[in-house]
Amino acid sequence: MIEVNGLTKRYGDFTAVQDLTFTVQPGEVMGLVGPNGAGKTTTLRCATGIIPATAGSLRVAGIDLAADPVAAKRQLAFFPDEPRLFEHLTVRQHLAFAAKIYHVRQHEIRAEALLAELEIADKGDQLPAELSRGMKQKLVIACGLLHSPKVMYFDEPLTGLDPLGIRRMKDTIKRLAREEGAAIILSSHLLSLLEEICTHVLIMKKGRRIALGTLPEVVAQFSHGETDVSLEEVFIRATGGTET
Amino acid sequence: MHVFRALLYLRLMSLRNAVGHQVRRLRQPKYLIGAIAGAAYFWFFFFRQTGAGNPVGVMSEILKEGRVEYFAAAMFTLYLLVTWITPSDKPGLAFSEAEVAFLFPAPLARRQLIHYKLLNGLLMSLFGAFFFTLLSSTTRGNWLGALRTLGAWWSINATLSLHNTAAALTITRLSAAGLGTGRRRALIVSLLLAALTTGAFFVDRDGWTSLEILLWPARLAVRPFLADSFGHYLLALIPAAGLVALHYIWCHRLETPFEEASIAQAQKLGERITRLRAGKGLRFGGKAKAQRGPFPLGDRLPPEFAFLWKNLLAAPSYLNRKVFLGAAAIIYLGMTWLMNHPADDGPKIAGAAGVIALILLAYLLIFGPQLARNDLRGDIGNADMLKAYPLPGWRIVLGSLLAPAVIMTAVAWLFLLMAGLALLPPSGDKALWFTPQFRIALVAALAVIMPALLTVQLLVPNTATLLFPAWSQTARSMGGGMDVMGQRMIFFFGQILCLAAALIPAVVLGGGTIFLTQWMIGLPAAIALAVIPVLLVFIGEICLGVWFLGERFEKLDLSSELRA
Repeated sequence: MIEVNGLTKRYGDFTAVQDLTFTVQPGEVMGLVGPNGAGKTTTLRCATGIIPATAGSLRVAGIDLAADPVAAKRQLAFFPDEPRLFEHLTVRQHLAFAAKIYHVRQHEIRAEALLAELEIADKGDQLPAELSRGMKQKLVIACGLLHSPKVMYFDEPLTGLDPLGIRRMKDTIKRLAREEGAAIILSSHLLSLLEEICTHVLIMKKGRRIALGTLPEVVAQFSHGETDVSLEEVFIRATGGTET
Repeated sequence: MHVFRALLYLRLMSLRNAVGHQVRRLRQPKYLIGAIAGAAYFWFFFFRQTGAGNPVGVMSEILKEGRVEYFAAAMFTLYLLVTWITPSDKPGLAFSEAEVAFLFPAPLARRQLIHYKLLNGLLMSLFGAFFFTLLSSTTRGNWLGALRTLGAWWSINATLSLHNTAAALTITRLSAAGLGTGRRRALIVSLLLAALTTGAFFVDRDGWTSLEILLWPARLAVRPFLADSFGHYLLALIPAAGLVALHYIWCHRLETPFEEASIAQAQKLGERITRLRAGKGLRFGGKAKAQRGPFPLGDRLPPEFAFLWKNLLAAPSYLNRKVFLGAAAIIYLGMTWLMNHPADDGPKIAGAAGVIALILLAYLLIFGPQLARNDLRGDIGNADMLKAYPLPGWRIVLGSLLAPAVIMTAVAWLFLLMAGLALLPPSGDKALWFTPQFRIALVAALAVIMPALLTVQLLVPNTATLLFPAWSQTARSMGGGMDVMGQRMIFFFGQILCLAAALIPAVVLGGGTIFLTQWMIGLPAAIALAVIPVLLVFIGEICLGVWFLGERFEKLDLSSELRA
């Protein structure tokens, strides 16, 4: 479970996120949307413990991220928009490294299972430079899932993927939530992705929460009684159609 | 003509914006401080210096004495020959990625592109000439002299630059025609020998040596630089400029396809820039290759070893255990052989090698930590990923420091081995204390404290990276300027200062231990004993440094640091 209470992040005089509160339960996928500069990435970075919050509290699987960041981070996985890999480590060496960092003992069996599931077992001895964008993304996912996290954060997970890769990524996210009970936050500009796989939506603008709830609830909030209002229309109405 | 106006506009606007960008960023204190340090260095080194103290100034003075024209021409010719025998892998006409994207599909004739690139090369030669003119001590306060030197350097630079381009384009043509590297080199050497032999046979009788004939074009190029009066300078400048013009025509007339090689080179350059901007540093020796892990990453090892393991994998493959052991064996056998052959001056040669090893060790201590980058500096671009790991900051910092510390320690031990085997007692009766036990104790003590000392030294550049990540990113970017030069200097002097600060308590405690105990237990044992307090000091400094850096790493937010 992810619990965020009064999260605020300031950079000098600039407030990137202002008093944000939300909860994501196990099995839920929350879509984080908003115009550019809304504070989505900052929210994700604070929620993963990458940057400290200026104010507010964050709990990951019941553990206070500020009080015990190491224990909290053991419960989560962060999948950035750009697959960041160590260029001198092969696919299997990446998994060995991740296993050591996350204290995964006897990781080989699980690693091989993940590689097989993600269809990159035959690339095990290759370096990132030899992998396609989709393969790299799969390797990042394999490393992130190795320690069976309870909380996951995806930042623009479909960037650079081909149609088949997009389908598989969507299936993976849905399976992780439904079958493994992970609490997932997904940041994306692709509203169709949110409609397809998210159970909840959080719309942000200028660091503030504009709307939060299940998809039907958020749609209802901005449809003003109209029927068949698309999420795109809801987004435009919610954000006023501008970035600022 | 409109095409050239457009290309000229591109060049001038790029230059104006680059200068404007550098000036504007001086509003940020980090760049302003760097710029002040760089300007101060520039002023004191180039303008305030008296006499011909700087290297180029000295060289200029030397060149103006005696029959230096031949020497300069010989160097010039040698450089030209090297461009033919071992050419660089860059294409003759190198375009940037943006130039490829905008100019290649544009309605421009190939010849226009060639003109653009050649003229651009001439402009770059002018910048190079300007820099060399600044370095020349003879131009200080003498504007006419400075202008002369500028023209002379420009003709040399421009000829060399155009010759490089022409050689690269010609070699591309020859390669396309099936003339491989080996055959090309053999052909060039044969032509050279044939020219010298023929010249010797036919020309020497008229008072000209074949060498003079061979050096004649190069002498034309260097003469303006060596002219002793303004009149002679102008007379010398005409054939030198003619040489530049001939090279220009040569390049322009070569019908060599350059597009594919230029695109490949632009992509390579783009990758290098991307790597540098991602904080990954330059990569030498081609693409990365998959390697076996340097040691088994067992379950019982602490996570710091995972960083060591990862960063050793990222190190060049020749930095491995076998190579170090092999080098140690060679050093041991070689030095022992030299020490046992006094008749062949073996001990003297070994002594010289030992001194060189000590000098290299000193260099390693000062420059090694700045150059070894497979630590936090290499990973700063991945800081977000590292910060998401379930590890406290100090463990990530400690793990990151291990690989460069291990590699530099291995290199330092090789230098110590060489110096230790070459150590000879000073001549005279006062060298009674220089026993084999003393030699072993001294080398062993240095070997034991070396890993800790190098780790302390590594803390300095990593501290700079975490305290000033923007500086670190800038120093790695392709951009230059006075401010970046100043930043690098501040890092370097910071390294020296920290070395001194780290050494003072260790030296005081170690020296005190030796002084107090040598009377009781002898000098070798006192040296061995002194290792304990020295190590304790270094370990204390490392703990303090790693703790501080860990705290800093946990609070690091690159997005806010690089916001400016």
